[in-house]
Amino acid sequence: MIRLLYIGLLGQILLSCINMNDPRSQSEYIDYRDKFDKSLVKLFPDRLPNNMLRFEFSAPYENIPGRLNLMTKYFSEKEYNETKTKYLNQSKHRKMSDDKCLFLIDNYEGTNQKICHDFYPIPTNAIVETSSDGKSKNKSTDSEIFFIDLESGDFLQDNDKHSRQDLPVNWIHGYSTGVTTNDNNKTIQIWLVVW
Amino acid sequence: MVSSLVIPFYFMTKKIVKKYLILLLVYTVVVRFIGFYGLRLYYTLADDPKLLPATVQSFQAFVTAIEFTLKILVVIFMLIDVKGKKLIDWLIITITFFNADIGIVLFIVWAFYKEWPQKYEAQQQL
Repeated sequence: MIRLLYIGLLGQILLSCINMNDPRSQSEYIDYRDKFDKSLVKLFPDRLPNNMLRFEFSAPYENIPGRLNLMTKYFSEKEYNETKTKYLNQSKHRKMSDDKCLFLIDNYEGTNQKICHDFYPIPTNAIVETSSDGKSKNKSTDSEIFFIDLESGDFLQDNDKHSRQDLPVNWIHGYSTGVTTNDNNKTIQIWLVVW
Repeated sequence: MVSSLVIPFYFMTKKIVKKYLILLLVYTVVVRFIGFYGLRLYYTLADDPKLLPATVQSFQAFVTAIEFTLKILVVIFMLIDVKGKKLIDWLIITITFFNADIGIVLFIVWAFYKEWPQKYEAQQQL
């Protein structure tokens, strides 16, 4: 009887090590990740983690930037803080989500965005939260943004014209990658935007 | 006299139970293990997993087709094996079509339950 219990316990431990994400989502994520240059997606894990909440992708098309987001949820305070500290140490800039100088690079609804002297491009989903019913979108006020890397230049190199004439001259092409953390929800979102 | 009546029936139930236990095992391995854990194990263990979404979709469609075939097979076996079907037999067959593992377990339990009064009566007569 005890032997059976041990076998059951061992089985449970082994099962907890398996990546339980839906294989189709997993293959889509890997496929999307591979669409970007490896140097741009260094922050993203090579497969979906078990604590994944959602991921989003959009391919670059004309003046629409390419984008990849991966949202993860932490249930352990310690693990969340360790991960956040890791990103904090890597970050070049740290901003709050209500900072007026954050530039939503893929937001065309309110195009009259303020462009500060220091340019901080981010994808809309990095700070805008959609309500559970999907009907309303609100800008997060309690999230922190860590810019891990941002650089101007043509990183897509697919011979398509992606230049953004509405941006400062040295930023007509570029990319920005970083993480958005939320202490209340214990979520960490890794994001990348390339144009 | 009585034991000669009981033994063939008991032997038949054992044979049917064995057959359905094998079917349950095959169904569990194919659908519950390979179908559910197969690709998940691949994505856990592979160093550099590279499967196109279309390939994953084809694999899942293949497993679904196998699952459907197994269900049909089990239902056909049940239709052949159950003589003089009652409402409960039809109910178990319907459950099997939608959820084969639960249906097979119910079928085995029902087979034992049906056998029990006859075995008990035989023992009483002895």
